Amino acid sequence: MNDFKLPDELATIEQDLALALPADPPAALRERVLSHDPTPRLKNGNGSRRRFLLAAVAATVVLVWMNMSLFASNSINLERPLATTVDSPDETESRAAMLDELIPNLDAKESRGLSILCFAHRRGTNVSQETLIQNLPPFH
Amino acid sequence: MDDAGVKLLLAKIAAGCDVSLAELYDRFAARLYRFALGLTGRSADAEDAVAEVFLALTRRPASLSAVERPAAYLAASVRNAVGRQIARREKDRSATEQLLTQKTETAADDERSERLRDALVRLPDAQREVVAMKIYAQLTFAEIADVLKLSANTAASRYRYALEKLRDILGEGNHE
Repeated sequence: MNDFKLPDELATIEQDLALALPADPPAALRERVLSHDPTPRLKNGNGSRRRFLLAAVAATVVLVWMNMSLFASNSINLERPLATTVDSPDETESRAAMLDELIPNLDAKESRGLSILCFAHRRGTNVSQETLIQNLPPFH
Repeated sequence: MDDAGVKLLLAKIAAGCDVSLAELYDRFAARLYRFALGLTGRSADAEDAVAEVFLALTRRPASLSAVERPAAYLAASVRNAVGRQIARREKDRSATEQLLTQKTETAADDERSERLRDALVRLPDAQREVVAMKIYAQLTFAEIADVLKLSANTAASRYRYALEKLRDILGEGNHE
């Protein structure tokens, strides 16, 4: 190995040093070079770290999506009668009676329907025909 | 394979021949990897340095025709790559952290090898570099002199001083 003769003790250190490191690089390094992959190993990470990061990203995306879905479903859906959007029968009847006095010739169903529309208007919402029908209080 | 054969491989790599790249890799990768590992003490850094050097061969084909001593050229390229890594890492974290991680990954785990690796880390940079070039990159003193811009005699003297220093460090360990 040397271009000159070393004393025995130094030659022994030299031989031990040669044995102190692995003989070959990892097989993955050969693949990386021959596939012209310029990504540093630390950026590649080991497999488990990369899988962990991918799983974390996937979990975040799912959580955000679920949160957005939940938010959308909790928004006021005018196509179904939420408790907070339903007028009470007494108030509907009371408003219907007032409307009857203000607008002549309304039948009972028309005055109740207008009463519900007034309620909805006061809450700043639009109400479809179906919602109107669903929210109509029972006739007495 | 002599220098002329290696230069022929470099010429083929410059022409885009991946088979020649594989042949050159099989011939030099082990010694360059161990050289880089001897300099850095970290297998991930050693891998990155070796990969960087081989991939650079495919990207800068024009420069390969001027290579006179291929083994020295490759070792110098690895040395430069390691130097860039160290400079990048010094930006990222403190020297203390770097020292802590230097004494980590390698293969042979017997006590003697462990002590040798620790002793190698304690050598001055210039001496550690010559030892790594001589033992791990398997360069001659003439080639080491070529890389470090020294005379061959100076390279040989530095190597001998490094081994003596290692002996003293290992001796300190025996007396503790």
